[in-house]
Amino acid sequence: MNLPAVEVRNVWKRYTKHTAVSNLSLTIEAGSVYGLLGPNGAGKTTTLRMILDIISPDSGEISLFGYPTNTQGITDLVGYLPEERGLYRKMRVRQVLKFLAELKGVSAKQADARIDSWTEQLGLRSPSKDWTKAKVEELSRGMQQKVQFIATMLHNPALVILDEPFSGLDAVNAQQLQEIIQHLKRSGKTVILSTHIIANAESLCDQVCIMANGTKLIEGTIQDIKEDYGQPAYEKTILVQSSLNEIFIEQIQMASR
Amino acid sequence: MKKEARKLWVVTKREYGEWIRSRWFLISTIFAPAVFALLIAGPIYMFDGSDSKTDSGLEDYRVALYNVNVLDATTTGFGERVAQLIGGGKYANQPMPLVRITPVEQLAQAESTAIRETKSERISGYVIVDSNTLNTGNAFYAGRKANSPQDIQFIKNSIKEALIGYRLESRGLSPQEIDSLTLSNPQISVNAISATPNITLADSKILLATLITILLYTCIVVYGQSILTSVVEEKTTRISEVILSSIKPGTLLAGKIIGVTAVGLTQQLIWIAMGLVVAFFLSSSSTATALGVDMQAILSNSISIPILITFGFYFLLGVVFYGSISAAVGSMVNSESDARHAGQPIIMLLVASMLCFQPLISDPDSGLSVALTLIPFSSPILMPLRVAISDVSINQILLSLCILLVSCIATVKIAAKIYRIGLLMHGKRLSFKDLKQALQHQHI
Repeated sequence: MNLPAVEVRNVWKRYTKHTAVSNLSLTIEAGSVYGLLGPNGAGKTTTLRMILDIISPDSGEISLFGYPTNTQGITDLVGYLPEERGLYRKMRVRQVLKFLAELKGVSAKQADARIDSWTEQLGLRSPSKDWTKAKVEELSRGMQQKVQFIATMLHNPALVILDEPFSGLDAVNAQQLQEIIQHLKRSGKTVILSTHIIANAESLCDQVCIMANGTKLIEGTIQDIKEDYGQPAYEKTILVQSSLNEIFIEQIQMASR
Repeated sequence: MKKEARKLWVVTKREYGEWIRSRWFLISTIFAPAVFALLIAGPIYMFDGSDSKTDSGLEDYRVALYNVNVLDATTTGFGERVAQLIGGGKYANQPMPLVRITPVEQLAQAESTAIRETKSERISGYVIVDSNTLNTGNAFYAGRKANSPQDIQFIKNSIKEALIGYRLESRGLSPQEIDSLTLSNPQISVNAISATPNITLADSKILLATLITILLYTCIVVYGQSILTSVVEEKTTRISEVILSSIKPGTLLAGKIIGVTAVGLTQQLIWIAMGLVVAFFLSSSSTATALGVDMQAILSNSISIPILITFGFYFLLGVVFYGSISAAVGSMVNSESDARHAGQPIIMLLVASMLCFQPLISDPDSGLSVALTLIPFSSPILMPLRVAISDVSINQILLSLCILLVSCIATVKIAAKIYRIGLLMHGKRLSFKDLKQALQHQHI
């Protein structure tokens, strides 16, 4: 039997004036895409920080691949894209990426090869322009987000945690990110997706947990949740037109070919 | 443990590399000693340059004052005697003030002429001597620089010396006897004072101690602030959360402090090397020696191995102590402007140590001095100073180092706890309740 990628058992986290997470229990199967949904202040980021051992729970247990989160080196299996993104602005892109990869245990040589591969894949490096030599502050916001995402993936993590990954992305880059998440799933990675854009969660996640005020409201597969909580409705469709979003993406992609 | 050590190395390497490559490092490494060198060597060489012209300041006044007129209403030739002394004495080959023998009844007219000539800058001023001068020593001096205390003192001395000569002559002494009693060469006494070897060594030690204190103060301030800036940068750019998902806050803090301390050490080594070259160069300066700045004495007697070791230990622990406090403070604020305000109490602690410099120099073995060199807030700056100027027992040095080391460990531990919670807190300052909670937390 496969161990779950993440297991959260009866976890509490209290601050001086409020309780961020109360008695939360979750099980995230390895190889799945798991959606953590909820409005601002629901306790999603606090939960993710506890999974990453950035902060400790007041009570309860969290394990990663069967090991407690404070096990030496266990968080090196995790790639984390935080909601609050940032990079060293004065450093060159390659240096920042190398530094963050080395912190996860990747050798400098390996890091260089992976940086080349990822930056080419995400359009930051081509024969005509190599953005890895530029300083971070010289990059556009979108490019900086790509660099941040590459930093999340450089150590080839078994578990990828993406906290609001679509915020600030234009439609083309959001589409690209969706494809990457689907590719990660196909390659057997576990992905935790924290978002308040429900449409993205619906299209990408195998399982979701809806949180509010630090507590779990609903957990299950999309289908189960729809069956259990959805309202039955009948709809007769004569013609399905492309959405404006699809037309926009198609036109932009055609223009860039 | 091995993994954490490797991560510590990665953070240290980044901190060190970024600071070493920065323009700030290059500029401060070159310009800071250049400013010091100018401040110290500048006056010495200015003095050196004028060496051939004068051995003391006195002749400068003689040259400047020869252009005064002496209005002599004594009818005894006293004015001639004063003029000779202003001009450097009758055997000196110097220009002499013009003496105008003036009957008392024409003194007012002679004076108005002198005033006119002074105003038209033909003469620099005039001195009136009369019978009253011979009796009481009172004279009158007016001129464009008549408010200069040095000019007044010089004229006063000349009149006093002339009066002695005049009175001795009245008592029947011969001019040769008077000369032997009144003529003196002040140049000789200046050289004799500066040639005393004990004073030279003491001065050298104080000079060295001053340099050490300034250097330590500057470095601890600069590197403490560098750590503060670095933490604030990580917090404001929001990269801290990514880093903390890979490394423990204590390791991150330690790497940061070690990296910045290593930058400081590199800079110190460069400065010491540059200092030795400059000291060697200065040791060949005759004037430096004459002034009591005996660089060879400093090199051979003052800069000893114990002093260098003490300096090194206190520098390292000082940066760690103040660096960890700065890191904790940096993690508690949300912007660089907040950081400047929050960093002020740290600077105040260091300034307070600097204010104790003078009492410690005056009595390095007093109870106050011993206490100041044991307290961790002031010992990094003041103990090396004390060691440089006094014979401090090895037990006291070890006790002071132990207190500082224990304080460093405590400060790093406390700072790491504050750092952990502070780095993740954006938009609001840490409250005392937050701090209390952070300090009570068991995990770092």
